[in-house]
Amino acid sequence: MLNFLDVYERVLKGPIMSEQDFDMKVFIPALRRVVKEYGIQYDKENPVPNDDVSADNLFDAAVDFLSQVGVYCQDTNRVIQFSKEEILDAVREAPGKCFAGEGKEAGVFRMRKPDEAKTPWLHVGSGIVATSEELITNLIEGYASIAEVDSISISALDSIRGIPVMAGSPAELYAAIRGSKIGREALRRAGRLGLPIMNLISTAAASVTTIAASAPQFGLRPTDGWLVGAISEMKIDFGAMNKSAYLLNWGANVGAESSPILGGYCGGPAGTSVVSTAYILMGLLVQKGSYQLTFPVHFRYGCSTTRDVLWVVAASCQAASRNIPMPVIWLGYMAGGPNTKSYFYEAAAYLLTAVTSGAPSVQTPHPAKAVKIDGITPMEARFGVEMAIAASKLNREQANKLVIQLLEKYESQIETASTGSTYQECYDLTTGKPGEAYIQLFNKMKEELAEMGVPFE
Amino acid sequence: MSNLLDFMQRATTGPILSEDDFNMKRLIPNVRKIVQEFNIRYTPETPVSSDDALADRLFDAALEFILRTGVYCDDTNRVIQFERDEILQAVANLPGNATFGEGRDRRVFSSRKPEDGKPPWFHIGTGIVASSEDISLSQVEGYGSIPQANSISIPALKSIKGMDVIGGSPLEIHASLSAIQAGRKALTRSGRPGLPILNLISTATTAIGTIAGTHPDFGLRSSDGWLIDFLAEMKVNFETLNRLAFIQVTGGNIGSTALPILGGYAGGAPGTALVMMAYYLLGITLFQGSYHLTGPVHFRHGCSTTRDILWVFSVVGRASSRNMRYPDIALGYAAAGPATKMYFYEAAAATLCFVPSGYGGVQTVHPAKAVVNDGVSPLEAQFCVEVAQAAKEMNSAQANILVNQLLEKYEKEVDKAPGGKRYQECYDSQTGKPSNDYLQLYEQVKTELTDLGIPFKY
Repeated sequence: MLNFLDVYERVLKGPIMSEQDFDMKVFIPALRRVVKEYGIQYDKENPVPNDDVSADNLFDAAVDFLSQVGVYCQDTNRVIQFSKEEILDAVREAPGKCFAGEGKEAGVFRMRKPDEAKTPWLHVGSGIVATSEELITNLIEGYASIAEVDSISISALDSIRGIPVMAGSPAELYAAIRGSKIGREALRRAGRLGLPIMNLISTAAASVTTIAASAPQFGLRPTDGWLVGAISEMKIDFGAMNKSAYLLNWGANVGAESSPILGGYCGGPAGTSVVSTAYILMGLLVQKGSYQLTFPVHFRYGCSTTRDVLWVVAASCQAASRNIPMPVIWLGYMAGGPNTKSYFYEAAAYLLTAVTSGAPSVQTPHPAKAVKIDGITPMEARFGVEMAIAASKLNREQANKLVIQLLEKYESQIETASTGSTYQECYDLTTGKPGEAYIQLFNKMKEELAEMGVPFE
Repeated sequence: MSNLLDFMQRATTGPILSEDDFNMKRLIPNVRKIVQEFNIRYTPETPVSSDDALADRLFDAALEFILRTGVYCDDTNRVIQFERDEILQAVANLPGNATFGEGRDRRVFSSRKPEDGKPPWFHIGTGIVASSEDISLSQVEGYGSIPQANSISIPALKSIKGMDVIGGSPLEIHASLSAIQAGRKALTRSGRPGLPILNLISTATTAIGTIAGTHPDFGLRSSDGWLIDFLAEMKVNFETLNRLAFIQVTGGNIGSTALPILGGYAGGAPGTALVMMAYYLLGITLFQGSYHLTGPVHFRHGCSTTRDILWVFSVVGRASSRNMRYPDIALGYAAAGPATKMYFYEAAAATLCFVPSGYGGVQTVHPAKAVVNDGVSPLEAQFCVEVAQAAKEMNSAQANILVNQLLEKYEKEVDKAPGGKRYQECYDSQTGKPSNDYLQLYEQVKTELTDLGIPFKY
């Protein structure tokens, strides 16, 4: 098995080249070649395809692609290369499960297969920036009050004592420590202290802050999860590797993070599906993840609910869940914001796609492309959980039909989607309860979806 | 009392100016003006000063210098400014001591006064790079075996699995952990597991390495000490402040650290003394340190045993110990390396200067300007302890005579000092014992220095 230091040695000794050469002379030509050689084709009529042979073919293509391209280190301008054998060894040796949480909330986050009726690991919440500690506390209490929840994401703080959080500054360090403490305290208040927080550390943009705020004195535990992000596309830097080095020495859960961009270096949906699958291999090999968080997004629209991105999610999720024992959380960015019809249609489409394609876990679909401050509420989290449970009772073919119907409802409006309400506009900050109008919309949307055939419990 | 968040606010809202303007329009003119206003004058014939009035003037001058100059934050291009009252309040509230170590090796490190007859705190060892974990282990075990040791410094590690450690890389995290674990292991072997390590984290050149290596599972304790450096001169950056924030919130001992450069922005000996004294006041105000590690370094020679540097040491030691109760460690760099006569002359001169001047603690004088990998051994540490014990019986005037005699022996050679031997060339790495040649040289120099008038105990 290649250990972390073995990989780091390649960071120092791999082929040297400029980042532009890596992008233009290695990444793009290799991706085009692999897409052609393996016959990867986007099928826009079927956003949720149903072909295991194609899924396995996509996995083979991703292995081939990664072995040809490697991973670029921005700090040494060198390429970390892996042979096909090393990649397949990592796949063979992967445990396929991640232990998270403590006490009665301790759980095993395991794999699922396409069309499997098992409920996915339900990861709830977001790291969307929040403007006050009170609001974060309300959000987390709201998430934790959903009985089915297995793990949560907590919001990022935008300031500490009125000082704006600047990446890599001591203010960020204070805010990150405070953010983690608020998270744990809110979980205690909700009576679910052991629930794992798996988006650590949302307030920390700099790796030095992540490491500082992870000292166990501040309440985090190795059974939580830290996100170590790849850089688009197929790149890494010392900041990410430092996080992995620290967490691996401590024995904490590393969550390899990736976000392939459709319309960027990946090209169209076929290329993006290859890269999306390759990232999961990279998570095993480079970041040494015990789980992965991935969210393919559209370059132009900034969301994951266009027809082509849904196909990428379905195809790469099927390829990975059938072939790579890495528990992956599939996360989608919605164009519509909280308290809008579009959000519910998009979230339903995304979750039907991911869950039936074998997603081991799905996260609360993020409203308003995750860029609206205070732009999330526990209501979206509740919808995500109920929708994921319903989707697990369907197969890909059924999901495909529903997704096509849903796309008809929102597809043409993606560019003009409403960013919806902020928490304060649709929730009562004091009681932490949703406003009457939002409850009515929620119930109405569920009824509409149930009539379409979504089997809510 | 202002806390770090208050200073962070000043670092983001204080007057904005370029680094060059700070240096050329604030720092240098203020050094020149204040040295003149407070009549700070260098006297080459008294490398160990006994002048109390000068010492008190220097203290007042340093306070004025901070008020007029402030501290520059490299990352925001702003000046952190200070109020007179907040500095004087910090001076008044100093406890005068700090507690380090665990179990039977726990000790209280107290400040001293000039010529107070009390033994100083013996801080042993260096952060000089060791080429392997085995050498690091042997060196630290040797330091732990010196019975007078109150605290130690551990070496920095050069490489891991044959790969050179790059600052800010994942390897630095691995190397920091290995260095700490080797240090603790060596102290356990020497029977003194509770001895505090006060140069954390020597292997880490970046905040990320320091913070990662401080995870409690890796062996460090809040009763150890972390060095937080000022940048030369009168500057900090986010790297510094991040380290500081982290150690503050985890409750560790902060060692404010300042190595002002004689011949740099501070100018000559009087200006360097002014800046060095100012760092003490900033150490307690901005860093809220438990202890201070300090020593000027000569810009041209890279060492701290020249006549002018010794004078700086003596006036600052006297000024700080007479006017504030901040436990401080004097750190000297010798030009010559281990197993050379010249090292012993320089180390003796420096230590004779430190102790009567009132420094609370003295550290092993670092051989060969601290730049030769493996270039230190426990025998240098032992020597400095013995000289310090002898020096506590002396006053500054007596020390001055001896230091002048020692300067005559090495002063002209500073430029061409011998690099000396590496640990493995003068010690047996297996047994951890010095070679016979080195022991003979050691005894020979001690005899010579005894004849000169240094009252060694044994």
